[in-house]
Amino acid sequence: MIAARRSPLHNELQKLGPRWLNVHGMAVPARLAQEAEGRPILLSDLSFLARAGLKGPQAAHWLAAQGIAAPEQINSWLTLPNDGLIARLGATEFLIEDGAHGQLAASLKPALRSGIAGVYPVLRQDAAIVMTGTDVNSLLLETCSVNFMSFPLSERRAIMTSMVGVSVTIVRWAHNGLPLYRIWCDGSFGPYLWDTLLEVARDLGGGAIGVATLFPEWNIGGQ
Amino acid sequence: MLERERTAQSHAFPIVDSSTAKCFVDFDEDLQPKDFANAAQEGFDNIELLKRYTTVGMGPSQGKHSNMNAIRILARIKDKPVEAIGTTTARPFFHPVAMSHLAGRGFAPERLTPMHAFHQHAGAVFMQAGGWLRPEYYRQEGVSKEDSVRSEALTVRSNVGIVDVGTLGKLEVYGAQAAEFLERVYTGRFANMKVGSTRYALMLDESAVIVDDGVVARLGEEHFYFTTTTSNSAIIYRELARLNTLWRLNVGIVNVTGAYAAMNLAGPKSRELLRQLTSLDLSDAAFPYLAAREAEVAGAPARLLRVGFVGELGYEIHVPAQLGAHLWQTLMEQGAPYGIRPFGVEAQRLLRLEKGHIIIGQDTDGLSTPLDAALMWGVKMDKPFFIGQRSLKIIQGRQPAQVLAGFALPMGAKAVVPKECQLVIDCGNIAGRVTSVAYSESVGRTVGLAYLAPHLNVIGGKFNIRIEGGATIEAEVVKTPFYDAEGQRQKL
Repeated sequence: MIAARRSPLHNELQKLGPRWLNVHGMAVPARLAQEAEGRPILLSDLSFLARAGLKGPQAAHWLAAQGIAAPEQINSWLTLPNDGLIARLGATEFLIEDGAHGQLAASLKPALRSGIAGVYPVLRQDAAIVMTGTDVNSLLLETCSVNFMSFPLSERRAIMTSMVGVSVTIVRWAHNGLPLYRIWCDGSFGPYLWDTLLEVARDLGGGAIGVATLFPEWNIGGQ
Repeated sequence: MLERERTAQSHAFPIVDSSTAKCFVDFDEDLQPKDFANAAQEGFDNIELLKRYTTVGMGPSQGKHSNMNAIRILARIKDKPVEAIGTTTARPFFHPVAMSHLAGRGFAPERLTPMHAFHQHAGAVFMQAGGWLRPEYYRQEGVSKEDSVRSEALTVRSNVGIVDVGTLGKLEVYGAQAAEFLERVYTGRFANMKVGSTRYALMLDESAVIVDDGVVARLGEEHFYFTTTTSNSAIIYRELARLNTLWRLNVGIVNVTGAYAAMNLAGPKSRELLRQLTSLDLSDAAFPYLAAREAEVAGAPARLLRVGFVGELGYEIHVPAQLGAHLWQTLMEQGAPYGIRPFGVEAQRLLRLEKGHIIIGQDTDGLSTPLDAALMWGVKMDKPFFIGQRSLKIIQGRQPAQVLAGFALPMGAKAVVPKECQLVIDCGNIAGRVTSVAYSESVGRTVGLAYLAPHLNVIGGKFNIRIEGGATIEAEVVKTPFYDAEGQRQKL
């Protein structure tokens, strides 16, 4: 498949000397010329992951009919098979994101487009940024007013807030024993958000890292 | 307790006025004691009124050095004790703020379209538009901005051009009452639209003032896709969500502004070029002017709207944002044999002006109604309801103070081009203003739009525009569109 899809962060990543890999039809920065591996704050781009959005009064029922367990609580999230997740963004709105090898979001799209009463597809073309590291909280303190330390890691909140002036949705995972934050924003704000976060991260000793380096378990980079 | 201690005046009256020299009380606003005396004489002798009349304390120092003196001056003018004068309301920052607190990072979000890098590579000079960066024009070595813009416009008129319109607001409304919802929100009629058609949409506020416009495409019986102006997309989405909550119609609104890339491929060769990249039947019979279609273009799932904002055969192509760069690049590569060139906002403004199409916010202001802007053709007053209808009914019988009209300068007046906002003068009085103006190669004259007093709005009539330096230049009221009056070129 030709890598016709482009991450909203493509031009920013290009400056970091990436080794591009074609994943799901998108050029993905598997490794960077200067990986920030081992640094206290790490940023990477996960925009290539497949995503599906839906909203409407029947959205929750429809998901249940598809056998998808959706969060009952607004602004919370659950994991899906193959490293995927589903987040409830409002009473009637959901975001589904596949893991690197998941197929769920992609498989739901044709059905969503077919016109289901009370269920409306939401085209998701987000910039998806991930950040982790031993000092990632310092980056959050400078860029976002939500105190993520105020609730336990086990509490799966999908927080919709503002980060450096951009509306974002944030969820927190644990990865290699460290907190890992998944951030989604409108793709048009992606370059600004990435540049700003990376600038602050570098001031704090961090940097960018390729997806294959950060997630070797995904095995997308030909180890 | 001594009177002096009670009023906490630790020093003598500090103002020494002079009849010959200046005596400043407020260094930010250049206020002197005589300004306070004048204010009091005019009746603004309450400290809050005096502040607003003189602007004392409204400068960068926010009254830190002038407010107390102003109070004492007013007390003396009114022959009252200082404590009887009162103080103005202090707002943050009440107290000095350490510079270190202000020295943190400043965050100024900006939005980029997926084609931004291509614009940069092509020499785009960017401008801010509703939080986005848009190519104003594409710089050419040794060519002035004006000539670059004209050259881009001429390419659209003669070959094919492409403009990034991804900054337009893009919304979808779904549901059994989607048409009803649009009927209420916009002035036009949408319930009778056929699936696969588009229609111009004009939005008013409750006082019938024009607030936005766009194009509505019906993609299904219960599915509409529509655009808003670049600057208003978030505001309109919020307002529609509010109205939906209020009306409780069976609809869902989705904001896909950033999720779709959009480009307008325009020019007489646009169909020929597009045919190379899609299996969709592009013949005029199968895909006529003002139709909407969904098809693959260069492998990307696309929504195609055959619209004519720039007055040529053209296709607005909307694709998922992640495929925007791919489509733009493919169109540029495949379009090379057709002489394709990107064009910017300035050329688009010129092209639409040649067609007499207005831009909301440029050719309208905070008071313009469809009656003023000559847009009643887009208003269906016989509908049961739309926002602004009641106000429009009330004012419909009245003569507007000014109406938007087309004008042209005499042939050969290319050297003197009036500027936007310059005034129309009639018998020494202001009788209107220019809202858009440019020299058009295609028309061979300087053309524009201006608000005119109704008695001046007579085709062939002459009026004067006051230009820089106070001189006036004569213009002639001309019917719009200036270019392709029959509108044949967009219907090729």
